[in-house]
Amino acid sequence: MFLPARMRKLKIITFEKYTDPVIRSLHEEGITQIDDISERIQEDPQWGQLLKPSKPTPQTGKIASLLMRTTGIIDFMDSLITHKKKITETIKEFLNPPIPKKRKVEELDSESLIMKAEEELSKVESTIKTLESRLNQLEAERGELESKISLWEKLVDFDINFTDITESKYITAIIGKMPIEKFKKAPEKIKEITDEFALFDMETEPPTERKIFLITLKKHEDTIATLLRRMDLERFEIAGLKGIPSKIIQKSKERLEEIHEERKNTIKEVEKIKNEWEEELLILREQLEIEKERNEIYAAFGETENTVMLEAWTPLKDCEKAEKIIRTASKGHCVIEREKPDGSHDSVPTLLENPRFAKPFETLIKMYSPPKYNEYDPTVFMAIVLPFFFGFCLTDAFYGILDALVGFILYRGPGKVNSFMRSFGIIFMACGTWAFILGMITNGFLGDFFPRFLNINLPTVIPLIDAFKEPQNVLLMALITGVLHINFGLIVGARNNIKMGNFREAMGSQIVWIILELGILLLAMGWLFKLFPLMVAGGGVAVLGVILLVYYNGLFGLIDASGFLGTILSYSRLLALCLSTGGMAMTVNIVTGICADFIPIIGVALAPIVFVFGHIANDTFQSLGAFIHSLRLHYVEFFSQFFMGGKRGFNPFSAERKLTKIER
Amino acid sequence: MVEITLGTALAAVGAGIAIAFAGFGSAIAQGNVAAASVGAVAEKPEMFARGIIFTALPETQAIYGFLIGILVIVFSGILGGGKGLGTTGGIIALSAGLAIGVAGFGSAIAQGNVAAGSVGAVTEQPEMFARGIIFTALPETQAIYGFLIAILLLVGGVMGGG
Repeated sequence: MFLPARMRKLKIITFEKYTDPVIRSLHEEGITQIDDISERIQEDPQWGQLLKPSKPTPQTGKIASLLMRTTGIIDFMDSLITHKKKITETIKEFLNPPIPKKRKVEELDSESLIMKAEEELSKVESTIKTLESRLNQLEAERGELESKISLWEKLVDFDINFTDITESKYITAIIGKMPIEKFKKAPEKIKEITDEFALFDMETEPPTERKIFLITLKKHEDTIATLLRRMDLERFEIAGLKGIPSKIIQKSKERLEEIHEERKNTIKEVEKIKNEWEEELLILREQLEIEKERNEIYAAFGETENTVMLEAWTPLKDCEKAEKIIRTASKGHCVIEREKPDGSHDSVPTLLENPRFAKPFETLIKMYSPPKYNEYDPTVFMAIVLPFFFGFCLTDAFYGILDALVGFILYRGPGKVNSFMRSFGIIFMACGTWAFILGMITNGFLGDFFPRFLNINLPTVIPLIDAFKEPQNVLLMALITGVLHINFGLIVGARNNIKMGNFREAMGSQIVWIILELGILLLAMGWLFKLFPLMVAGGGVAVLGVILLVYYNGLFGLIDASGFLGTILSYSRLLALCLSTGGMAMTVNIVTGICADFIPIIGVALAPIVFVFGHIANDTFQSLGAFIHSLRLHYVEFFSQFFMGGKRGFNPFSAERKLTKIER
Repeated sequence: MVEITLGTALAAVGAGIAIAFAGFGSAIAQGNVAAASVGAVAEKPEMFARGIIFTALPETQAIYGFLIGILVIVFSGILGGGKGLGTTGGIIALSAGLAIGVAGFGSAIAQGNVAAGSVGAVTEQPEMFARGIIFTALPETQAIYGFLIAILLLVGGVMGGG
């Protein structure tokens, strides 16, 4: 229970023609992790003489291309058709998510699946491609029209036919806007170049600028344009424009409306196809994904002319099952060798194996780092202690009930289809339960709700650990909890190291601290109970601890002593977070009281709102803090005593079927 | 109502300094880590949980400051009423506040920098998480020294009858 699952490596040799059924059966079962041996064959000459590395099957490329086409169609349809859900629908779906029904599908080999995919895609792809290209055309036309409108809108004040200007052989127009101050000087400056021009102007935005329309002979265009550019003219490009601005704008807008309608109709057609084909395409995608994995895995094998060799890590408890599957699939034409992991355990993947109550906490261990093969798996310890720490940090009975309720909703709602949600639902329920228990005994129920509003005390409170009246006792309790937690880690670490033959590491990193603590404990007890022999004994043990500390860790070991002390003091956060939850809850109660007592009329209505939302907000933030700090006490303080981790997790070769099941 | 003596006032200043400086440092540090985490989450949404954990780490200094502040308030009798604290006790309480306040401030800033760096490292290589946590925890040592001295000052000085 405290070690990761025992693993065995299955070395399998079978004929080439039986490889496919073997792979298919192992993939469907999902109990083995295929090891890549191609690298070993390339690097080790001995292996190289016997085998050559296999390659993905010839069908892999075709399957990948079909998968891409299928995904492309699904993504295209999804990008166009989104159903806006009402908030009530979203909540309902979250609380009671629909469980996807799995459709029975025939077991197909690669070639048959390729044919099936080609056939299905041929029915839907051409229509979708036509619609996609129509939509692209409409989109492009819409873009062009919008920029056209934006340009013509700048010219709309000039009610002339631009064809007369842009197609004229002799005259040209310079149109744009410029600052009023510079505009006033413009006619004079232009006159220095020529008198053959007409200049019109009008108001524009911003009011500090002026829109101008200058007509002149073509031969003066460049000189005048250069002059006006120097005078900060922002010129509108009119080359090629034909027609009267207002009419063109109106026409363009009409066309835009048509495009909008055409687009809407095209999307309706896409929606129709989606309704008809979505399920088929999703199933096809899943089948292609699975088939792609199966065809790609060949690259991890070695082969001779007629045989294929593969290696698969399998949990010991599943070995027999895996062997039976291989024998059945290869009709007995196979050789299977079961091998124990070698002494280094370097290549063994880690599969966590814990009792049901601790399973949800595996997520938290994996997030940190999976343990080494022969290292203690701390999941069970964490499953017991983390909820307690959470409860200690939150220490509010009502908040505990709320958190447990949230956990229950996550477990029964989204947890039905999402294993992550199910895990966190269980974790929250455990955490909430501890917060409830500790809140009841340390006088935390919506802060000081009972004494403040009902003038009674919680009957379950233990006065000695009333968090607000006796914080020093709760601090002591937090530190004792820390000492116990750390020492448990030290014992586990020492056992781990001794088991792995690292006696020196066990002495220097764990046992010296236990000796030192024991000495200090005896000293303290002797001083407390005035027992001189106990004090002497304690002093002796403590000195021995210091000597061993220096012996195993050098003089730096003495510096480590402050670090060790700091590790224990870090558990004082349990009290600090407990007080901060209570303090904030008390503040919400005080503000509620002020609203009710001092704000006339509205106050009576406002008080319950402040009370409810204040406590919900406090519970949310404090629960988040409590969880993260409980996690931190494990990751930083507890794990540093014994846990190394750093292994790769067990990643089974498994067909992930969400929408399909094989018809047998 | 408590009798406001010079000692009580000094203790009150000590409580204020404890949380003000430590909280100030923690806030700056958490801001830096949160900013790094937002970037990381934008790149890899699965970094959300890890980003939150790294962001929470430099909160420890504020927690220590808060705790010492509370202990100063409780031990000096500011909440409980009755006779005020002596001047010597007040100076000791002020020193306790300074010890955790200043040490916490520096430690938080340093921890924030390491945590922000760790967020970047974990985004690149998820297996760096455990090592990132260990590195981030290192600059907390100085805050722990400050916290320890503050506790000893309070236990020996204020509770001991100062």
